[in-house]
Amino acid sequence: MASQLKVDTLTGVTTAGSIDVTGEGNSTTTNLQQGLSKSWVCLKGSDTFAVRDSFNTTSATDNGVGDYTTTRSNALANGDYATSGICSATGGGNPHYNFIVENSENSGTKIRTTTALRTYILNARDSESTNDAPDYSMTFMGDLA
Amino acid sequence: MASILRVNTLTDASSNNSVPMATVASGSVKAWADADMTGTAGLDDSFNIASLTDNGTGDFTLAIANDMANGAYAISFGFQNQSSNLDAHIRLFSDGHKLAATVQCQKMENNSATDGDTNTVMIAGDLA
Repeated sequence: MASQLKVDTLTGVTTAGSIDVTGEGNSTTTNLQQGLSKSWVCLKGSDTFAVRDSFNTTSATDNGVGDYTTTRSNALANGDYATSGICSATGGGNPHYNFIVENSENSGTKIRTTTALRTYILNARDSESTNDAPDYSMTFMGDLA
Repeated sequence: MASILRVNTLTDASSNNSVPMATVASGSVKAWADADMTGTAGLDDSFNIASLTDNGTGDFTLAIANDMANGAYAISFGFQNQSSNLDAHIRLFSDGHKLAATVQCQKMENNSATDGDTNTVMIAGDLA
């Protein structure tokens, strides 16, 4: 029988922040909280800089060409979180070689904070250049504070 | 007391934001990792990752704790540059290294394998 649960908040019984969900194979479970993206953002980097859409993102700053900082509304627990991003191709002499890199060049340590992540859009074929992109997206996985 | 709730759809109390449980299960990331390959390689944090193996410079294998159904899953990466080298990326080590239980990856900078402080991986797909 089909069923529908109407609820505003899901909370684990044993551990408030941990709920298991049965996976596609109908046997193994996955953790609901750990599997949820804690933040995502879609930016318009070229022309007038703007946030196209976002989740748990309080602001986005255009620091310069291809240089963006996005800030989380609710902080992650620490700097040990996973990010993944992609951008569209534009600008420079070889726009199809754009990629996003996290700001921490030469540091050997994390510069990211629990709320802020600064990244550059670099061009692999256009020495040391940064490029703006019409579409920039970033996803965050990790533990909320 | 632990409990199991069997339900097809989750909806907020106002009957908005409805989401089928199938979407919750399929739409959740099944594993992620933040790996530090500098010095003694290790996992800074992870979910559903049993271990990290350092295979050499820039080359690491993640063992998935609860296996994926097969190798047909989506994987994405994030990273920091260790130098001003351009042409940096993380890639699958080679064809055949994205498996249900393990995935082998390689961080590249300027066409050379390079260890990095932050190598992040996300896996979305079907659990076994």
